[in-house]
Amino acid sequence: MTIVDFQDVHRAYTRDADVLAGVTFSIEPRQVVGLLGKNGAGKTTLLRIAMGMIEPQQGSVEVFGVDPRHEPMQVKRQIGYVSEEQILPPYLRVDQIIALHKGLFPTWDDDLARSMIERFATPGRQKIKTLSKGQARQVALLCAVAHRPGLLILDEPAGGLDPAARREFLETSIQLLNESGTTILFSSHYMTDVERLADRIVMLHEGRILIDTELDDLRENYSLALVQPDGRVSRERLLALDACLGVRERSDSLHAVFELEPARVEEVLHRELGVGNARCTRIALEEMFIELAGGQG
Amino acid sequence: MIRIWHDDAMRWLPLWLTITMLNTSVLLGIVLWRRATGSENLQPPTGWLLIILWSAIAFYIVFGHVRTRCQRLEMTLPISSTALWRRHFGAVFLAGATVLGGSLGVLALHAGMMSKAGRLRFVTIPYFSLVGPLLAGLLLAAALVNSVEPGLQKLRGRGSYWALVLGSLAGIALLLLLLEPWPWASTGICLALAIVVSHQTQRALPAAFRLVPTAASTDSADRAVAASTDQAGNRWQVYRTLFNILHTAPPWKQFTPWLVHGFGALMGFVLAGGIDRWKEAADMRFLYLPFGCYMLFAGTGILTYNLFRLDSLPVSRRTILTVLLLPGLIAYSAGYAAGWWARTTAPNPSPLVDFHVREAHVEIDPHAEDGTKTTEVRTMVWVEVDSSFMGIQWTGVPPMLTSPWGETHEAWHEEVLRGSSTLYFNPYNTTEDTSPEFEALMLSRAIEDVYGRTISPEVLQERYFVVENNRVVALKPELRRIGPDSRVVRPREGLPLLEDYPELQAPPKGPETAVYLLLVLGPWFLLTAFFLHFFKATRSNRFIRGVYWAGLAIPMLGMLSNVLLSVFGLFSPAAGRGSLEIMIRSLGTSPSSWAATWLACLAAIGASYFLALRRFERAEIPTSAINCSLVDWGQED
Amino acid sequence: MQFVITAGSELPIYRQLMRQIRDAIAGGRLRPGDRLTSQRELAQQLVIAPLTVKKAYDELEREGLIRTERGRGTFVAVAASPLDPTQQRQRLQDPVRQLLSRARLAGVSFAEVISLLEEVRAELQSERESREVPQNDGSEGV
Repeated sequence: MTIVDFQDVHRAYTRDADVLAGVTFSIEPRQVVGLLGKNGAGKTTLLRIAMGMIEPQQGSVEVFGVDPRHEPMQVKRQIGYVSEEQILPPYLRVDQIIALHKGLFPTWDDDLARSMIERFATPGRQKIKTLSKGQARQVALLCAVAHRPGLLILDEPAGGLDPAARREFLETSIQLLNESGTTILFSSHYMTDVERLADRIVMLHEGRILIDTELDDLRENYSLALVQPDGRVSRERLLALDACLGVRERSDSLHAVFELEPARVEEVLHRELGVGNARCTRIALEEMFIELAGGQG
Repeated sequence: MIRIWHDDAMRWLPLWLTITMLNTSVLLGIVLWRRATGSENLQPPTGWLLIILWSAIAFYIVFGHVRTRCQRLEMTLPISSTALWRRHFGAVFLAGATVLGGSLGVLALHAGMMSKAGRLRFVTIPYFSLVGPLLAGLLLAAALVNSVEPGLQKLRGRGSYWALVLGSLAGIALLLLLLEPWPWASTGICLALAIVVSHQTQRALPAAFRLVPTAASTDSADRAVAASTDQAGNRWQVYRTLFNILHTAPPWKQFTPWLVHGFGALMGFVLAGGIDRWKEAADMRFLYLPFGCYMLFAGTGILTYNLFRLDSLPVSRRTILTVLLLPGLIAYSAGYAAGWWARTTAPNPSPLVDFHVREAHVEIDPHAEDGTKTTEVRTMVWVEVDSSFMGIQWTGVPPMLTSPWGETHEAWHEEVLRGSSTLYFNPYNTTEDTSPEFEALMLSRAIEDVYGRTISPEVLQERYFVVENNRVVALKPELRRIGPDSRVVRPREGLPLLEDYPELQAPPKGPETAVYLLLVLGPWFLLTAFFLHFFKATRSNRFIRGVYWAGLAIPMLGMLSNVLLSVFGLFSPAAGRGSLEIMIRSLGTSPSSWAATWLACLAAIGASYFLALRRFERAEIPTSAINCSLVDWGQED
Repeated sequence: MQFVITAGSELPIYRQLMRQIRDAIAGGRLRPGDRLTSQRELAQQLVIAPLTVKKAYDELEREGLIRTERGRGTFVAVAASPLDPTQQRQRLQDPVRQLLSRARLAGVSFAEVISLLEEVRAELQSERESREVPQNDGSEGV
């Protein structure tokens, strides 16, 4: 059963700008999908639509085969959600929060919860507001994970955390992957974390999906070409090429991202535009993000 | 019915029959025979009989073997759970009815024995008005008891089960007692509720009964679903934590919703007429209707602050709405109950029929030639009744009161709303020129209309009026009497009707609780629905706050306009309140209209609640808190 | 057996892992019959997705370098690869192609490439030889 299925989803908050303008993708079980995009590109909106917190104005959404707006309880029982925002009520104690989640999720695994509490050394009787950000996020992660959800939705889960806390988060996620084969949909700005965890990348840009491929495919078959602008070559001409995803103008060169491996890109540039001195390399995720999100595609 | 005799409830019936019959006999003996020792009226109030008979049924429901739905053997047979459930339901009802029959037999025995004793008066048992409500109540109790944990073969005797059982038994008893004068109403209500409850339960039946409860089912087949008995026990903890989360606020600011609930309770008290005990403030009850709604809605808005914390959790919107609305509702109801109690136990309730004697200075000759004003002291008398017995004239023509011998005058009236044709008038009004016979006639009519008792005008005139120059000038002073121990027996001014005719029973005021509930809860839920309608991600938090303030303004404006219009003489609050009370009383004239009003009001309240629920289910809760109160919960200070 | 993964480098993580395992086998640090860390544990250790580890292991298995036995674990292949020489040769096409085009872009001549190949070969040889002499001082090796 497809875990998440978005079909041509549109959503806007104001009359002039669409935050999501026709998003279509689906997630199969056991996939780990990293959602990338600039701030305001619609990542949070997409995740909230998947949770059923917001309604798509056009198009359809199905999570675990049902519309999360129609069957919110059924969907939410199988989802673990962690967000960068502090949702946990600050004046409640940690053990009260855990007891609440235990009562709400029928598939709560006491042993897993206990092992996580031990591992994180979570202080049980402290109020949430006395915890550090990392500790509070750990509590949130614990609550999201201990009921062995079929889908884990993480909205910038490592935002604001120190590297050790971020690493902890990763390790817990990987443990969950190992043990339960949970499907994970997460958004993050830490590209290294994304590379370690995700096997698929979905990049949102200006309300649409710009890239939706496997991460390894991205690494091997996408490249960055650095081209000197001259008479023959310009931004528009580069964009006109089929395989070109985006071009960013720098002071003395054009950075273009292509959906081909470097050797082929050289050939294409040479063939179509007569360019012979372009530098084509494979591109790391962070660079690709910068080039695409910074430029206009 | 598959082998109804096999059900545990029936198999143990003989034992419980014997026990309950003995029980009933003892109780009846205490109630009936004690009265025989005095010279009191032997007829026991129907209420007592009802309670005694109901206790037999209740005893059976609590102690009888009603928890086992089917035998284990039957679980292995190809019998559907619906059939088994129905069988069990039928068995419980039949057994309970048998128990009732047994106790009725005991009752008949006692009554027969008493009448056979000769010198005692014959005791009449109103069997028909007992059997109907009791059977319907039994049906409802059986339905409620069977509605718990529909999937289990045998219900577990846990705290929540006993709470439900005892609560329903007490509740049904209360209902039957309250509606004791109208047996059709109680029978109908119990029957209707029983049908609803059993229908709901049947829908929730699984395909087969289970021995052990399972946790709520999830879709995923490869997850082990463990049966955990403490899962359901956690429910109250979950509700409590949800409640706490909604009330999350910096510690010293947490008082805000409680303050509002306190005001809500106060409003309940006022709107139940509780203030009547201390001062004649009946109009306040009418004027403050919008304010009750205002307070309740204010509380609801404040509590939406922490909704974003619950959005990602598998908590149904219905549950959240309940936790949102229930505290205010409870506070209001508690205040209302307290006010109702205060009003009904007030030591000196204002009389329903009264006769006023006032002295007034009247100008005799306004057009005297020398411009002097001569005033004379004249005595004005008139009959006054409680506002619910006043009259409404729709046509705008001043009503005329006519005596059988042709004497007529215009009744006192005032416009409800200036410019409208609706007049609020006193149908028993008299002027200073009215003859004593007419006065007495008016008084007699008033007593008849209010109390249903005919006292002839001659008797009244003879007894109460001081007549001079063919006009009533005063009430007889002997009415103010000193008793044997030098205490003033009749201290009040006015007509001592109730002291002279103690058998006069005040008529029921009609379904005023229902109407007042509707007038407060209905708008509250509607305002909530209106407010929640704007919970969309396209609306900014500021906008939503604005909607909240607008929602608060509506009842506020209602109140203000009430007050302003009356200050400027454009609206008469007394007439307004009177019209409402007249309407309420007319809705309570027959038990069926009374019950129908209740049903209609509850249905209307229910409908507006469901409107709010639908809006909430479609709402998109903002990610950050909406601060609807003047006290900002986000600031730690 | 410690591996080092660098996220954000040009090479995908699974390839990094493959290369390191391959190097380890070629350099004798992993001998035929040695047991490799289980996929789950490796994922946990290196803090990478289990799927990535699986991918690396699957690829290496396809190349014949390692072998998975159900219920017992993953081991370095004992015999020579079951793939025939032509297929093996085919698999070298891409890396060679990459090498040569990068060399051309970098302006390195073909002769220099050949000398580079011989240098690296000598290195690997010496590594293997030092492995075959048991080390008593527990040092990591050359």
